[in-house]
Amino acid sequence: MRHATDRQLSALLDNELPERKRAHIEHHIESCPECKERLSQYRRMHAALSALPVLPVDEQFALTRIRARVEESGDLELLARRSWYHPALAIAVAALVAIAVLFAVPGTVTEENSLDPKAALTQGPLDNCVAEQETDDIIRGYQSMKQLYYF
Amino acid sequence: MKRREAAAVDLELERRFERLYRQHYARMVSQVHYMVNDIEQAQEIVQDVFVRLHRNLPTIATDELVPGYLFIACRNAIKNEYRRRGRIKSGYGKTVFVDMEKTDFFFRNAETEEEAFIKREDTKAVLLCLSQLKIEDREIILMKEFGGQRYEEIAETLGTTTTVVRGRLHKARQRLRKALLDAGKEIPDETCY
Repeated sequence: MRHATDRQLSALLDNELPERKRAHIEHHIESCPECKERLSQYRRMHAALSALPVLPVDEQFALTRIRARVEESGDLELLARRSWYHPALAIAVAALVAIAVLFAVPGTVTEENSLDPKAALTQGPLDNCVAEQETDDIIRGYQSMKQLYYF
Repeated sequence: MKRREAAAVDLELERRFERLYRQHYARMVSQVHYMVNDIEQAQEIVQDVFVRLHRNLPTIATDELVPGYLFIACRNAIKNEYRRRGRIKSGYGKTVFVDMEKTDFFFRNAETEEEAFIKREDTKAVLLCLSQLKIEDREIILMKEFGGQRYEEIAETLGTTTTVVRGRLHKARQRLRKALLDAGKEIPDETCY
């Protein structure tokens, strides 16, 4: 019989060989000093590694630290939820600012001109800044949108 | 009423966490220590992982899944730590030589805990050679030998097959044996244990 492979020896060590193959290899090892020596080396290595101890650690101290960090991360999450940067709050603030800006610009929309877009765009200081042609373009755009959406 | 129920659930979760902590913390620290050769770093990594376990515990259905979760989380943390330090450029596999000063500290420390057997030079030799292997080799050897896991369990944790585990373990053992022989160290005698 050929020598046992390292793979077979490793599986033999872990009792992971099928019964028949195991018997066959064990029989070979009995009569082969080389394979016997290799298996013996693997066995010793296995014994040394499985005897490695679990290190002594201060479990209570570590648990206290872990609990403190859990609490800290919980506080951070809470803070994030309450934060000014929370998306829902940010959107609401943005909407409020937009509305405020819209009403703050003089001559844009008032009760009298709110139904007449030309009046809304030509009254007040905007008269000076928006050219007549541009105003007509805007009104035409507004009217085509009105037709499109029926409002 | 609802508040009381929520408090009961929280209490149960805390109890479960503490039970799992007592069961796994020390062993995980040791396993990570044998992988990274640094007891302080091992404790940092494992504590981080337990903080995450606390957060994710409600989503982990059974306690049997926890060892696998802990192992994978520690493994990822080690990988990230190594990458951060630039010790490995890609992957997870460069040899890291043991810091003997820290290992000596560990042995001295163990002595005070009357862990007399760990003083043995031969165990030290195995640890030293183990530390010179690729971290993937160390990982699988420790899972099998230190963790006492079966091929099926290792395969499940690593998300692979028993055939792959068998192959990886055999290669890793081969390399460890070679490292011991190259270092001229006597492979420790099993009768010592």
